[in-house]
Amino acid sequence: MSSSLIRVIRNIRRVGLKDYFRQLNAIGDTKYGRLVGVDRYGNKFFENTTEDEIHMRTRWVQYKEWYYDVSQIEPGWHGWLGYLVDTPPNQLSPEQKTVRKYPTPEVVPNGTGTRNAYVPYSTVKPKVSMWSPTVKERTA
Amino acid sequence: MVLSTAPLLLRSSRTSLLRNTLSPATIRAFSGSAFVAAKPAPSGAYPKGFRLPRPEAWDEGESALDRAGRLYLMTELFRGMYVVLEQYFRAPYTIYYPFEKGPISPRFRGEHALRRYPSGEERCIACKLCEAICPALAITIDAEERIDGSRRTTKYDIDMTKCIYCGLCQESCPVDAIVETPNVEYSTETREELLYNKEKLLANGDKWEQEIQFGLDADSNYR
Repeated sequence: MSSSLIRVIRNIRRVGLKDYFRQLNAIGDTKYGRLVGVDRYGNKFFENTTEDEIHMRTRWVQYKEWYYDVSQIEPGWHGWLGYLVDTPPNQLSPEQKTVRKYPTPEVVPNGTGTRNAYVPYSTVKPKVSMWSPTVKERTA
Repeated sequence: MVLSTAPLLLRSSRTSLLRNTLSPATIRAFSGSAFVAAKPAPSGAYPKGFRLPRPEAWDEGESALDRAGRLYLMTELFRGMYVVLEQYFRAPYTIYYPFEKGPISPRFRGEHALRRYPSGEERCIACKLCEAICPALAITIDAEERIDGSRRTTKYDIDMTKCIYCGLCQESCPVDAIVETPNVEYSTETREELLYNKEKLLANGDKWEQEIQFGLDADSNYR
């Protein structure tokens, strides 16, 4: 992969002007690849192994949100993006998928700095309670 | 001068005498390796570039005018800048992180999670092995008998600011309850948000179960 003018023009013709603008604002490079899938959050995942992309630049994500964050990626796709597996999560065989009776939770991005942030709390009753003094009536 | 060269002369004359009178086979049979292995030093010309050239004297080499021109026209600076300019037209060697990621190992040890059985029952049985083995003393566990008589934790706190991500907790766990997911994207703005309790860890487990499965599948041949 080289950032040549010919490559940029060729990829603009492939991805279109709208995606070209999106990519310039995000990834800073004009990349063209096969749309592998869309996760439940709405992020799009691309792969290009046929052309001369360098090692570790063959898989990339186009975020749904303008203010993107890696924690918006659904677990599973996150692993595919990090080359943990080669099979994208929408093509997994049944034995590769997790089995669970409970519903799969929604994708919740990292909420730090917002009202969605995690607040730690104790899950048990405190073992030590405050001493509340009781004073007896004076009789004398 | 005489003192230093005399032993050298003696030794060389002795070896040459031995070499001349005895055949190489005899020497090999009766002596150690020194005589046999030693080869005469290469005589004659040294290979090219073996010796450093003599430094130029003040009145040799380029003229004062040339040197002044090189200094004031900053030719070396411009040559360096040209090397930088060349990199503009070359492919980058880097990956652009939030869009592309580096490789994740199946054994990666990231954020912690408490797993559940496929039925939804939590795995942790409060044996406290992880609490005992944790070298950073980051885990705190309280247990109580549940209403159905089973032994479960009521409190499972991990101080992620203490944790050193050694992975001993997941190694020690007999029911594979506490695991380290491949997730590293959980940075927080405050320190308090890193004091995880049981609910947070169970939620992590529900969220990252698929990738924990990826890691276990990839590693199953070696366990």
